[in-house]
Amino acid sequence: MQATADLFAALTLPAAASLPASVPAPAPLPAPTPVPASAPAPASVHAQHLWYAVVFPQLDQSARSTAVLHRLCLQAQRFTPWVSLEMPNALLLEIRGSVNLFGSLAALHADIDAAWRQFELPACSAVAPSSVAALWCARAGERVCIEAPERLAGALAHLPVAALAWDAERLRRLRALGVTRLGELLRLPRAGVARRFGPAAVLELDRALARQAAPRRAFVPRERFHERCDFEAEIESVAYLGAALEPLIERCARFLRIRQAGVQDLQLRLWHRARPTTRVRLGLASVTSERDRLRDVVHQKLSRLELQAPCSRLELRSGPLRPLAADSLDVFAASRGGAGRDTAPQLVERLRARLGEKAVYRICALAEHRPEAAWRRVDELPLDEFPAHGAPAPDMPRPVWLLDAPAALAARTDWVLEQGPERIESGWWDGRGIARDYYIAGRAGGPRLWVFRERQAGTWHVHGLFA
Amino acid sequence: MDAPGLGEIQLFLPALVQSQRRSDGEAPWQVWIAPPHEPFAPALAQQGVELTRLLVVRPDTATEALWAAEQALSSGVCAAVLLWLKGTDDRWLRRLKLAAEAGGALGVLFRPERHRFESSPATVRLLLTQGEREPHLELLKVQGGRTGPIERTG
Repeated sequence: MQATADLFAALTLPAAASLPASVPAPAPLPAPTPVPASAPAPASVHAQHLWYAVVFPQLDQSARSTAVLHRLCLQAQRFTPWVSLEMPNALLLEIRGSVNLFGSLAALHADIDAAWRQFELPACSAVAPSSVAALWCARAGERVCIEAPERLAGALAHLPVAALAWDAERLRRLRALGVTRLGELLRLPRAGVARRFGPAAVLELDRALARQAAPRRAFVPRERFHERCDFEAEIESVAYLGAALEPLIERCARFLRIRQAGVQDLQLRLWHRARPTTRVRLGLASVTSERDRLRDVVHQKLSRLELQAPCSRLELRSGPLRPLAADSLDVFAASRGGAGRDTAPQLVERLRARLGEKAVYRICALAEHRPEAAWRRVDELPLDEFPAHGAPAPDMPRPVWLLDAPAALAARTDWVLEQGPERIESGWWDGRGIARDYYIAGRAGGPRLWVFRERQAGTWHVHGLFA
Repeated sequence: MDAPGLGEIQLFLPALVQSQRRSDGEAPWQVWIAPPHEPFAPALAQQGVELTRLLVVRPDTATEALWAAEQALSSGVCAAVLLWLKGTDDRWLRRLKLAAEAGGALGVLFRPERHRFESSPATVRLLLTQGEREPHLELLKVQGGRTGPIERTG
């Protein structure tokens, strides 16, 4: 069994057995034959895993259902550390390692089933050596328990094709072929299935028969720091409140340090006897787990806080945990005077995290005569250098501000053309050709503009502003 | 400053270019937040701005712009942060000043002229107005200095 952090069942296969599309002859899917122990064939490799699938038919796509599924997932983690969420309504548990602990597979199966009963949710479960097959059986409502991969094909044969959870169109085409049971589908030639339903369908069938690995992402519960403190006597002064918070901040910092994580926001709640709860949001400039920084921000907020009423209880909870940047873990950072400083990528990432991907960008100049095409946005991270543009420096100065599109300039009686013309005639090859004479124009009491005259139409436009 | 085009960039450009030249070869960043128009890359390159180290930020709201400015100023990687806003309150100005001091950056906030009589914690406040022939520059506030109009030389 591989013990990876979040990806499991990711055993690699010999290349020859991997791609269904590359199989030359349209061979029917045979029932897997027991392989000799000396040859490490795929089927025996995947027999290492044993999957328990459970489907909750009442859950749907709604946010409430998702929350319920998350809670069920936490419940399932009692039985195995490897639980994966199968949206919208199923869970997959890898239980091979737990069988001995619970005595027998049947006992474990019954124990996990019993866990759902306390939620009073209808649930259908199945155990199989492949995750896909377990899910199919659970969806079909078959409470089966298959341990040997050799029995998979036989056990799946009588399931209705609806258990595949394919889209309606593909199911309709299956029915048009006269296929109503999985056994009939498995007997079809592989090449034909790949052509009619796509290579992904063949891969799915292979995965169901445990010939191919089906990696799943393990569910990692969302952790928060969350602690309360009740006061015997109500607190009326903010100073006492600060003192009461000290141990909580200390524990929060330790909680974060153990997980090598940091937070960027904290929330403080104060309960009063006769008034609604006071909530205080504490935002941090960067992700941190340092006690001193947490304490600073808490005390900064408290110093501006006016208690509306005596406080009977307080609660400190953290925002989502975030991975700490490497330099936050650097013990020597403080001695170099770099404590709390960011790097440029961190700054860009944080700005993008809040303002959106498109709101933060760089610009670069291009070797192009047309002003519209002489620059472009650079959205890419990492922030390495882009190649120098190598454009010959234009003779006339260029304005700092370029208008999004040239604006028509109606009356030009009071404008004085200070510099120009600079003829720009280019771009006939890509259909966006221009033929313009550019001038720098000024007016008493107004800004200097970058204007041009369309050479053919003779109309005047503003294209930029000198600032 | 009421509208773009008063020479506001020309005023700060030498400082911006200078701030990107550092002895250790690692050019610091400058961030332009909510500029009134698109900064024209060839013009900036012409004037010597290191474009690879210029970040343009377009936030949706004034609060987000202020937040972005605070983050950029206090990050310690920026030499200068330019911010264009219609208006803001005193609390935010104070936060920006603290952030600029923490990050060792030059922060410049461009606001319309109607804010000239409001108090501000800024170290230096300038008023740019369009004169008959060329823009006028007036010092509204200098911490530990004298205020008044400035004659342009050269």
